[in-house]
Parts: sequence; C-alpha cells; structure tokens
Amino acid sequence: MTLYLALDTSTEELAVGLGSFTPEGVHLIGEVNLDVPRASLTHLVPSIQRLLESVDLEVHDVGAVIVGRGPGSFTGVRIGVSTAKGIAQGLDVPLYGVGTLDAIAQRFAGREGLLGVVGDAMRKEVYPALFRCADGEVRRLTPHAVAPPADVAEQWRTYGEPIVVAGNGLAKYAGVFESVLGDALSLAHEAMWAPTGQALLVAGWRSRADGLSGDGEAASLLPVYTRLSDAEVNERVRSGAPVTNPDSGVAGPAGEVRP
Amino acid sequence: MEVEHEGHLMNLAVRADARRSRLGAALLSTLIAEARRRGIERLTLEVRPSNDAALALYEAAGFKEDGRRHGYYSDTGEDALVMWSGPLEGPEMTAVAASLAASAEVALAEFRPARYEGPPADEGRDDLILAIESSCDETAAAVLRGGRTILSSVVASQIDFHSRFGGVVPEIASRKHTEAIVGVVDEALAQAGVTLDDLTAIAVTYGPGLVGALVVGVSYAKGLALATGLPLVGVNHLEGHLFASVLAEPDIAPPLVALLVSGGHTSLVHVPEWGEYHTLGSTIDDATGEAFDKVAKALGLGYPGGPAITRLAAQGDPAAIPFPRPMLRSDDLDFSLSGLKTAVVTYIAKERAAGRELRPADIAASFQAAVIDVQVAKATRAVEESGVETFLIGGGVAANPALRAALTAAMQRRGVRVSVPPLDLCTDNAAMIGAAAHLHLWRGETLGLSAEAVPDLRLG
Repeated sequence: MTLYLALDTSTEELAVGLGSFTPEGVHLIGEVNLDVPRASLTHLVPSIQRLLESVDLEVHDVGAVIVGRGPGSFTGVRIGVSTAKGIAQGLDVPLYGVGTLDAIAQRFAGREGLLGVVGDAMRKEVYPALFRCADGEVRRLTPHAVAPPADVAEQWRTYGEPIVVAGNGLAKYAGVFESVLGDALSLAHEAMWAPTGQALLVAGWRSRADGLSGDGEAASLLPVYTRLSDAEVNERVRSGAPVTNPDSGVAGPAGEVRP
Repeated sequence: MEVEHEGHLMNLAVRADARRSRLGAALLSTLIAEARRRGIERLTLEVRPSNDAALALYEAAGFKEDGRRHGYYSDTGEDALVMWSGPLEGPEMTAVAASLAASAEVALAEFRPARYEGPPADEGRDDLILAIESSCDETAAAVLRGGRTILSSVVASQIDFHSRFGGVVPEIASRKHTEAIVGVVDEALAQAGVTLDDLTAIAVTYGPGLVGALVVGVSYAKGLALATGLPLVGVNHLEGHLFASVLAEPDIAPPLVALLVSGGHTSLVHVPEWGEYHTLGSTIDDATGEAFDKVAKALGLGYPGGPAITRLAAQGDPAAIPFPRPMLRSDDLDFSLSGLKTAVVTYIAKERAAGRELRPADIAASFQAAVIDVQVAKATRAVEESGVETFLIGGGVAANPALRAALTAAMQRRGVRVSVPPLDLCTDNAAMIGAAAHLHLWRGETLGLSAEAVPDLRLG
C-alpha cells in the first residue's frame, strides 16, 4: 500500500501528514501541525523527519507526495511546493497538488450546507472558496480567486442559506462577514482555520478519486497564486490591458526551461 | 616605523610560554618581507646586550652591531645596542631572508591548523556534487567531480521575463525558479550522465541574494537532501564567484585578492587561504552592474545594461567626456558609483535641454572608462597593500572586455598573476557553487535541514 506524505506551508500553520488510501478514505498514520509564523522553511523538513521517526518509518517508505499549492503567502506556498518537489524528485515518486483552501474545507466534511473559506491575501483582500457539504462529502462551487472581503460576503449572501465561514482571512475581516451575512453566518472556531496533515491527505484522496490530482510530475506542479506580480499588474494597468488573475500566476509568456 | 626608506623595528615580542619555538624568526621574516615589498632599503633596531636570545635572532637575520645608546632602557638603565641590517635587496640579506622564511615556515607549521591546499582532484577525491543556484534571476544546476571537473552546468536564464521591466522583478524570479528547478536539475544530471544515487553531496546557494529566490533553491535542496540522505552543503554566492577562477585555472591558489563585480555586488576581497575572506572595501551605494543598468536606461538601451553599454562603448571615445572618478583618491578601498551615474544622467539631460545631439557611443565609452579607472586603481592598491601575487576577477561585470583588459594590463605590469574566468563562469552559474562546496564538504561543513536562506549573507 502506497504511503502518502502530505505537507502545506501556505498559511502560518505548518501541516504534515502521513497516511495511506483505502477505497473508503484515508488511513491516517500520523500528523504534525505547528503554529510557526514565518518560520516554515526552518521547521518543515525537521518536522517531516520527526514524524517519520515517531511512527518508525523512513523517508524511502514514502510512495507519493501531496502538497498544498495555496493560495496563501507567496513565499510560504513556494517553500512547501519547492520542498515537495525536492522530496518527490529525490525519491522518484509522484507529486500531487491539492488546494490549501480545499484541505481546510475537508475538516468540515461531517457538516451539511454551505461552507466558505477565506485565506488572508493581504492588501485588504481575501482568497475565497465556497463549498457545499453534504452526505460526508465536500464539493467546491467556486474557482480560485482573490477579492475584497465585502464583495465575497455579498456574493455568498445571495445564496440565502446559513453558511459556516473559516480561514485565516477572518482574523482581520470577521466583522465584514458578520455585518453582511448577519444571522446566516456561523464563524468557525479559530482552531479550524488552517489545513492539517490529515485534511491534506483527505483532500488528496478526494482529488485522486475524482481524477483531479494532475499528472504526478514534480516538474509540472505549480503553486496557486491567483495574483500576478505587482510589476505585471502595473504594466497592464499602464497599457490599459485587462488585469486577469490566472490560477497559477505563471509570469510572462509561457515558461519553458532553456538549458 | 618607516622614515626615508629606512625601517626602524620598534618592538618584537613573543609570549613567554611560546618562546623557543622560532616564532620570533617567523615574525622577523614576515617583517623583512613586508619591508622589502614597501621599498625599504635597510632596517635598524635597538636591543638589550643582556638579551641573548634576541641578539642571536637578529644576528642570524643579518643584523650587525653599529653603535650603542648609553642608559637607553629607563627601567634598568641598561645600554642599547644599535643594530643595522645590510641592504635588503643585497645578496646577503636576500639569502638571509630566504633561510629565515624557511625557518619561519617550520615554526608556523606547529601553530597552523591543517589547511586546504588547493585542488584535491589529483588526490583521488572524486566526489560528485550536485550544485543548485537560485539567488537572482538564473535557475542553475551543475554536477562536478572532485570539485574541479564540470560534468554539466545548466543555466535557465529568466532574462526575457525581466527585461521589459528594466530590471529583475523579485516575485517573477521566485515564480520562475519554482517552475524551472526540477527540469534544470534533471537536465544537469542527464548531461552529466549520473543519477542521484551516484552523488556524494548536494550543494545550494543560501545567500546573499533575493530572499524569495534563495528560498526556492534552499527549500528544494533540503527536500532533495531529505529524500536522498545526502549531506547538504551551503555556499555563499560570492565565494562561488571566487571559485569560478579555480574552475578555469585549477592551480590558482591563495594568497590572493579578488574583485567581485556584478549587478548586486562590488567588493575587493583578500583571501589568505581558501575559506578565509576579508572584505577590503566595497561599494557604499550602487553596485557596478547596477550603474551600468541605470546609465543604459538613461540612454534608452534597455536591460540588461552591461552588454549594451559595452557594445556601444567599443565605438566611442573614452576620453570624450570627463566624467568624475568618485573616490579615486580616497584613502580606503571603497567604491561609490551613484555619483558617476548621476553625472552621466545629468549630462544627458543637459545636452538634450541644450538641443545638442547626443553621442551615445562617446557617453558609453566615457562612462565605462570612468568606472574602469576607479576599479583598476582600487584593485591595484588592494593587491599592493595585501602583498599578494595573484589577482582574480569574478561576477557578471567581469565579463566586460574593457574591464578585463585594463585590470589584466595593470596587474601584469606589477608582475601579478591575473585570473579572469571565461564568460560563462563570470555570470551566475551552479558550477562555481559546486567548486566552493567541494571545499566545505571536505572540511565537514554542512548545513542542517533546518537551514535558512540568508539574503544579506556576508563574505568574511
């Protein structure tokens, strides 16, 4: 049975999980979730080592890697994605990506109804994602995006349903969602705002089952930024071109390796 | 003390518990060598007649008694013997200096830690290092055998993605590194004909540079090290530029002085031995490459400015416009390029305002000449003050042919060996990182897996 290593450093919480997949779901072997603001580069690899040791496994036992692609802190996302690429390439095993907000959403799998997740995007914006929880499953309703919190709350209000909202975007903007959504809103407890090792594995299991997990190539997996770099945004604004926010935020013309 | 080509040795002392180990000879040998280098013709000193050890040392070093100062030592009222050396450049003192130097070498060997003696490839150290570099806008990987033989060196330049912004955009650089790094490493391994299983170690640049860019390389390298179980060696990017010379000329060895010039750095470094670095001076404002870029922008030449200015300068008159040579006469080895850049930009604005037609080739040539004059003056001074016989240039701006030629000519006039790496080793690459990593691997200096990127990492 394939041992999956899952990791995410897109938020201030470092999440690492080890587990295997069964037809019914994830068999969790162990996880490490640490609150390490701006220190994930220091703690990520040692945390993986400690987790492996604590369950008496070795890195060579890992048969596939799953990484949270964001959106989140650009540098944070790149720490997780770059480390995962190194591990997958070093072990010669597949690398799969999951959305960081999707992993957070999986923590609410037992609920029924609408679930909104908002990641802090800085600059008075959030990364929003809307899900519907039903029958133990979590289905995503909206694509990757970045938007002002009031616009997000307003859009979610149009569903006219009770909604649970989670995510570290609430640290700054809980008041915005409260004032727009009123009684329809239930704020998730702060302990439920970040991905966990187990949630990453579940999101990975779900996307594998749905055939959405990509080609498994470490080289082609990319972070989800939702924003262009400032330089590109300014360039488009100056030239009058529309500023569209791409999923992967690949800069400039399509990138190719030119050895 | 030095007066009119005569040197006066004021004091020479060895700690009591370290006497009788020829350290005095070592000190005196160094002093005589330094005096000769400074053009001092003769040395003099005073010594107590009762100090047999000192007298024996000075006599062995070619000093002869030439008078006596009565009651010279106030503590005991003792006389002083006045001693003089022969002419330092004369045959007698030359022979004495050589034998003293040999004696000093034996003495110092006792006190010196084991040192890195240079290229160990011929000593059967055929370690295979995979090196990764991502400190600025080149994603690079290389495989080296024995720290000296380049089996592959792959550089994925991002220049096309940055040029339209007139400079490197850090966020784009970080994104491009993330996209490219796996492919670049695969390519480097494939070109070298090796697999990860064949490697001895993984090396990565951990500073200085753009923090977001460094983070990609360091994260990735740590992941690779975890997966393969290989040691991870951290390399200072600037040390890498020094080792570019070693790759081109394997017998290059310290002591030496290096001029590191690039878009992000301008400094003179004294290297008494590999691994020991003393920055003698550096820019107090813009880096050299930065000044080239800004002047190129003012002339509408686009980015990167270095190659554009160089091409244009080749057709211009370097003496056409007398741009300032900032800090040419300052007492230190620091550089300033901001004033020169401003002078050029101001000149262009004035000429335009006056309705005169610009002569871009002359402006480029005159600007480049001003930069080169200062760099040559400071570099030769650093070499003279350090007393080294080897000089090397590193960094992207070292690719400038006029600068290479001027430095080479100036050093060769002084009998100093010059090493200028080939162009592909001047600009950022991972081969130079692997060469530097070889030194640290041999010394057992590795990074832990909790290592950080250090954007302001210093050299020495």
